Amino acid sequence: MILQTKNLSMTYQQGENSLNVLNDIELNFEQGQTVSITGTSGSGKTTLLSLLAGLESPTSGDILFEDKSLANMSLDEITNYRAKDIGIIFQQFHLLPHLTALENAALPLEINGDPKAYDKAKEFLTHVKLDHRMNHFPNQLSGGECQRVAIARAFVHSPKIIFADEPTGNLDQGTSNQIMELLFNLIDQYKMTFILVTHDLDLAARCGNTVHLSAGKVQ
Amino acid sequence: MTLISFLKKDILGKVSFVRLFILNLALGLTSLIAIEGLGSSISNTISQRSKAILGSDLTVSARRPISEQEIKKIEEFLPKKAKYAHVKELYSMVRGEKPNSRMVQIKAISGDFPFYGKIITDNKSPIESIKKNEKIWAYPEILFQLGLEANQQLKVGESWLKIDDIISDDPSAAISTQMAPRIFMSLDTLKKTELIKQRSVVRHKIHFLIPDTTDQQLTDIKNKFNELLPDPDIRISTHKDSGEQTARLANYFNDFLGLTALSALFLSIIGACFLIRSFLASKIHDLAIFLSLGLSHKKIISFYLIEVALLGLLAATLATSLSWALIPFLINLTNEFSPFPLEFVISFNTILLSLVAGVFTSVFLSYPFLSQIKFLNPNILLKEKSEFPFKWNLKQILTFIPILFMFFSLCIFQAKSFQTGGLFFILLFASSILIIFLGFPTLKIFSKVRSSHTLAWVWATRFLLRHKISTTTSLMAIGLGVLLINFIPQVKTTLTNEFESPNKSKVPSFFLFDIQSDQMKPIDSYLESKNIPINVSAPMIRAKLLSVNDKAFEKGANTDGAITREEERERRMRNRGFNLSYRRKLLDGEQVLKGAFFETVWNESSNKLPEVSLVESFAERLDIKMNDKLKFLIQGLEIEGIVTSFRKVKWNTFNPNFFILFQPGVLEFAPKTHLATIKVEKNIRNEVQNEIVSKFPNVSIIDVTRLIEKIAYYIVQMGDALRWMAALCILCGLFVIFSISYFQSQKNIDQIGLYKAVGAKNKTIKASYALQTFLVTIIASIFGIFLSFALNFCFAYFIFDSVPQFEWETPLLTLLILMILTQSITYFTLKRLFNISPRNLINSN
Repeated sequence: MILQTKNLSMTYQQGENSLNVLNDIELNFEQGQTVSITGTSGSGKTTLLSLLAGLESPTSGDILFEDKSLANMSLDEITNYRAKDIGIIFQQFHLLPHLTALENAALPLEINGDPKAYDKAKEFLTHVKLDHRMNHFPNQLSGGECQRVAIARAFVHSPKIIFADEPTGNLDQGTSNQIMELLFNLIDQYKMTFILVTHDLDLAARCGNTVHLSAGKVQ
Repeated sequence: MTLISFLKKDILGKVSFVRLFILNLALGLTSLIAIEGLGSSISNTISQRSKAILGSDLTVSARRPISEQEIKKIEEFLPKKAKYAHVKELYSMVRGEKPNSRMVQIKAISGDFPFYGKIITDNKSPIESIKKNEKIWAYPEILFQLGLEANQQLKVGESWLKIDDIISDDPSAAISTQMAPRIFMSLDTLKKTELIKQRSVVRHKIHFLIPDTTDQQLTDIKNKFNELLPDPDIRISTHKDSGEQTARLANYFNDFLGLTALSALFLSIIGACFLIRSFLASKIHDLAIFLSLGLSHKKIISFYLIEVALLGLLAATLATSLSWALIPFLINLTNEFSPFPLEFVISFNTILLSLVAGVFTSVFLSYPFLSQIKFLNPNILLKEKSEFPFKWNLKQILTFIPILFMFFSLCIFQAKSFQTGGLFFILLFASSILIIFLGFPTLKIFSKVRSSHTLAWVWATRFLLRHKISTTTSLMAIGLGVLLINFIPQVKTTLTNEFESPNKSKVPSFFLFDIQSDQMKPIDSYLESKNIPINVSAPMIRAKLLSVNDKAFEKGANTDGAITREEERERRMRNRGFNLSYRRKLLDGEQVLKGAFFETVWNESSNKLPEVSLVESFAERLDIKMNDKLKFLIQGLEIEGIVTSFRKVKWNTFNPNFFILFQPGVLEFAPKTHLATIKVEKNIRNEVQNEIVSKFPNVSIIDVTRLIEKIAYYIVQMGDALRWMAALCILCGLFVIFSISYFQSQKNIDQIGLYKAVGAKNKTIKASYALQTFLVTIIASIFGIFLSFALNFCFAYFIFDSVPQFEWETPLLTLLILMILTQSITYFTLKRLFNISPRNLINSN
């Protein structure tokens, strides 16, 4: 078991009102498994993803990564988890505008202190067919190219889990298909755990397992 | 929706931009408005006090007695109710019963003078008490310096005169009276002192009371007097001229404060440009929506121009309010350079000027950016991502001309000099360009320093090198502020050093003037007996310039019509009499710039005109060229000479020198007085001064050491005051930095969030931001400091022809304070961002 949730709950405080976004979520993710998390808007899928990725802490419950409790981890350990064990692909790409495609892709390796960061990033960018755009800045790239850079950034440091939040939400159909094709090929090639948040049921169907959330609960 | 309600909604929809834009502009305008207010306060105080300063409505003066014939000419023209009184002013040494002596300014009065203003004494004595008796009134410092008390006697010339009362308020006091305090006596008493010898330097004045006249009528009378008395030796001044003359130093000070204030405005403009550019970039979609809904580019540009005009108006209003707090402080500083206390006033004109400046600055600086809306195509709404299409082709760059022209005009207006204002404008831009052009390569070098290849360092240098606009703005904001705040103390150090120890061993202790020709030998013998050599002695001949190349040399127009300080100086120069001298050798610190100095003694039979050497700056002011023929009138005799050389004189050697020198062999027999400088050991200085005063009562002695102390004091005071204004520039610079940090918040939220999401440690991210600020501050500060050194060097080398002096205390202190301030700004603007969860990156729009 690579990732496990135990009684995971998340409540947001909005003024005097409490909003229960997730209620007692119990999920298990196996190594190499591909899982889609679906649900309508407000069902809690994005919150679940941010908790699993260690971007925020739950109100109650716990997440176990390789049997280690995220709740018991120090801030440095959580940071380390994000730096080494996971990769995240965002809907908005979130590339740093002042960095080139190569520098964006090499960022996780740089953070991990890899002395061959740029060589590895170059290799990966070639893999995602961006070898000719390596020194371009995000504003010089198309949406599809930006997402390829973001994919390279997520995979480059060989994490154990890849999280993707609506990765084709900002792209046209043709580019979307290409990106998902690339993503699944890479997952398949590197045997990573893949957790995909999407409201696109066709896309969800490409994953081995699907978790459907409704009103903060697993259906 | 009406335009007003739409504007209101639009402004309320972007509060943070509006707040920063207004505050930014207001800070820059505040100092400018405050300086304008200070200027108004000076003029207002002068116009209220000018009659008391002069003591009359109008005065006719000359350094020779005004003849009966001349008086008759103007008497005929005077209105019936007019009155006049004779006054004489001169410098002389005085001493008490103890042997101490002191140079004073003697003002000998007669008739009903002063017609305006009352000289107030400790015992409130009436002025008649000195007019009718052989008594005097004296400034308190004379008594203090000579160890005297009221009712004791003072030796003035050949007479012992009783100090009848001590002056507590003299409305006609000037800066000069702080150098040589004044004593008042009657003209009859002055006569008895036998101080006035044949060629003594005395200003003879006739003061006129011309009741019921307007300022215009008075100017007409002045013009008529000028026609009636065309002799350039005669100076005619109204009370207004006199007031302005008295406040000259305060006005010069105001000019320089104004230029420093303009630097603050310059930084504000830079900051506002950054804000408007960033604002437009962030509003690209809103603008595209307007376009897609059918609004024309022109209408959108006009709408935003109205909006920025409104913001400019609000900024000016805020600046006017802030300047109310600043003006009294500035008045306090300026009072050091004004012989009378300035009264606080903000005139309607100042308010109007501030509003106009606010609106136009805002519109002109925004136009180059707003006009770029024309390049925006609404089809960007259909694209997956888009950026504002800023284009900087030649046509677009030319849109900066209005703001540049406006700023240039403000420089000229503020300096009241094309030369100073233009130079300031060029220096400001050249410095900005230098800071940028040196800053970026330095940053590049820093980014390549291998040993410092930590992640935070790499991120910081990359960020700075790639965010060119914000880095440029920050470098300029800090660099220029540092330059200004350091330049002033650097120049102050050079100047004080120059005045306190110019070639220390050569600076004379005493400057002796009014020495009669027959006194030269006895003085020389006396000094020889004391083993004191004369540094330099020079004959001085009073002359009138009749013509230049046979064209009559005209008396200058009034200084009140002068637009610039250069014109004022040129007109003043034209209206003064000329002192001539002659010698064969150049003095220390003097050099020939053009032509050759006199090699031979003039020979009357040679059929050649005698040679004349002029100081170059003097020749420039009067537009005299090489080989021009100058004709002088000396005691009724016309003498013509030809200009054969231009010299540069180092005046701060404090040795006697002259704008005009004649070839030896021409003026030897002309009536003259002599000037001399001597260097006396400190321990016998008082003794020598007192003995000269007692042996040669008509000879006046300037204590150069004391004079230097006074000058150094003024330089220090002026430097300190200017530093306050420079501090305001730094404040503007810091606000620009704050604006940049604040306005980039969203960018920073994304960046910090992403760094966190990819596993960067909080301390690495924080360190990268701290390093960004550190690098910009240190690079800009170092270049700012070195530029201040370079400017100081140029200032010392070209203006004072001396070795510049540098001080390290201010640069180091500035660097330290700035480092703390900029790091604090970064910390406080980013503090909340570090607490934002990277979760916002997911599904954020």
